[in-house]
Amino acid sequence: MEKIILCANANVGKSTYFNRLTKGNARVGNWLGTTAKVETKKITLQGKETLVVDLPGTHSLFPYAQDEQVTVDYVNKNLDGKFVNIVDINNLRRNLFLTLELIEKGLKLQIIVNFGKKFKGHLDVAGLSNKLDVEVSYMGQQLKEFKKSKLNVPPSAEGKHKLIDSILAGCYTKKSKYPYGLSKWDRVLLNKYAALPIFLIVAVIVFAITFVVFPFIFSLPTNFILKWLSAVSSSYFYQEVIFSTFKAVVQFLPQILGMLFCVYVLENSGYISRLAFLVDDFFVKIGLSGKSVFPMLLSFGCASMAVDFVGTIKDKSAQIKTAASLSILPCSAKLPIVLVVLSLLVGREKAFFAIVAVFFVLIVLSLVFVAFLDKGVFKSKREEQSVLEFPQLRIPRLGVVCKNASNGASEFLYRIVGIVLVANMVLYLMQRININIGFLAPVFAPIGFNVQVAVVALLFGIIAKELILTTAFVGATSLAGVLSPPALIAFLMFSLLYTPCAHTIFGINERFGAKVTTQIVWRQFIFAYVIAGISFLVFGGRSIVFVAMLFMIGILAVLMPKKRCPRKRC
Amino acid sequence: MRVGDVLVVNRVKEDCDKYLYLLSCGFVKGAHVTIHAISPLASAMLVQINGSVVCLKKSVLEKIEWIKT
Repeated sequence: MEKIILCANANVGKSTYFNRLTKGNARVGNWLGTTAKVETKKITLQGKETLVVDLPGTHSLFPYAQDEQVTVDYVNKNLDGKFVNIVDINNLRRNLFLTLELIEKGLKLQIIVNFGKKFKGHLDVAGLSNKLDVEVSYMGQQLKEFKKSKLNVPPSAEGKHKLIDSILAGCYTKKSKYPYGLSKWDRVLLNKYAALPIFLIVAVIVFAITFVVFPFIFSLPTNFILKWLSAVSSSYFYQEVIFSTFKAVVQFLPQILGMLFCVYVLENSGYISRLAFLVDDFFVKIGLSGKSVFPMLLSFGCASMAVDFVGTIKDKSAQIKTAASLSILPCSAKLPIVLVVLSLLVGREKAFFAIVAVFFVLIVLSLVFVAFLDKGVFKSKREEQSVLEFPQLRIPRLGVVCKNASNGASEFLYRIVGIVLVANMVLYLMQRININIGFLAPVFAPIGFNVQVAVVALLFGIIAKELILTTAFVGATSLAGVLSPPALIAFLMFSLLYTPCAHTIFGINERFGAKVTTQIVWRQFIFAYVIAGISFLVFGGRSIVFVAMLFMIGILAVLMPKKRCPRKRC
Repeated sequence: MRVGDVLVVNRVKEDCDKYLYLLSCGFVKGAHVTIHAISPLASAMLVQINGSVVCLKKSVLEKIEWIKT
């Protein structure tokens, strides 16, 4: 089968072109590494079955990050393929370096120029085509002939840059006050005094959109659907299994959509790269990378989805710690649990502020957990971190944002409806057959919730966090009236922290292997136990609180030691 | 180094682990590099090279020999 391979720099529009060529649905964005792995799709082109391949972006054929290595390996294994090199007209000088490398390799090539809407200047496409000795066309045009260029490319980098200068002389001019990647707004966004207040304002707006605006917009259809579904049948099985499932999913879909919408607005606008630059100092100190910020923000939607994006980070240890932090950060699946428990504790009116506080605590805890990992098994090689290419700041494309958010929400629905339904059925059968797993409950007695339902909920929660809500707070066996407020807080903290969900565990396992995954899971379990214990004691006002806290912090220190066997070093 | 400084590259030291990356970005002899922003704790910098902007660690920039203008 013939292969058409899209190979280009990051963030030049490869996925947009891939979608156009294949009528596909690959995610597009404004962040280095939007395509995190090789995407393929079969199409029929000029009567021939053709495989179109979208590779992660790379700046050159000398790989720097893990995803770039994937691209370079793929290119080297498919030297007989037909290559499409997409170049961004605003960033032509840098993009042509990769073009020359592809020509140097003797590949069958053609070039597609992505004309940005804001490009001010001139490009003589025919002139460029003549000088490079390959076909050059615009983004919207049909594919042309693939050919091996006879251009003599010097092997040295200096030689290549000189050649690029001579190629562009006379056929390319660019009129722009700012270099590619910066705009007048960056003076404010990147100002070291203004940046943090701006980020806090952005965070408050994101939370307000997620928890106030979207639920308000969707309240009418959501209530209508739930009312209609509840009236379908009054049987116990229907109400406890089918309706409970849909209620759990439909009720929180607006918040999930809202969170995904906000994350993709920030990503598409280019703001996340600015954020990555600003937090880089602090993140490197605790063993992460500035580039960790995108998967971390994406995990607010879904942690399992975000794991795919850690590959853009160079240092493997920082990749692992980023992946570990994702399952502690707030996500769309944890949101319903937080919402319900806090509504029970402080009432619906005050829940918004309490949710923001809990989310803030989770963000801090994720960084604390990462810092522990960095002091222990996964120490970063700090000198290797963070080289970041800056995308342009732009008004987010509403169509792309809505498409990405709706795809994310559909993925969430597709993933969760079946799992929640099966789990609800299992729970229903357990109640009917009277299966008792209460023998596990004493494990949680020191942290306040030695109740069978809580144990069942936590077991199901390993499959998917949403199941904690449907198992522990919906239906006849609800924990709402069973646990005291301190125990409820401890249960909340434990359920938010204790392990990644099954999808995230699989994602981490696929990328880092079983050993690393096991390390993350058990350490996270202990971390959750300690934090839940501290919460229980603090909110319970126990007299031994400080002794217990010190004791638990001691356990934590023992489990995550500063020194460890070099043999296990990552 | 301060925001607004324009520097000229002499060479990238070969012991730099990003040697090839920097060369491919355009950090070759004679290239002009402008500093556009410095991160709050000054460990990362946004620099303009070849008409576009990249963020580099200060430690990486120290691996470049400059001819300051």
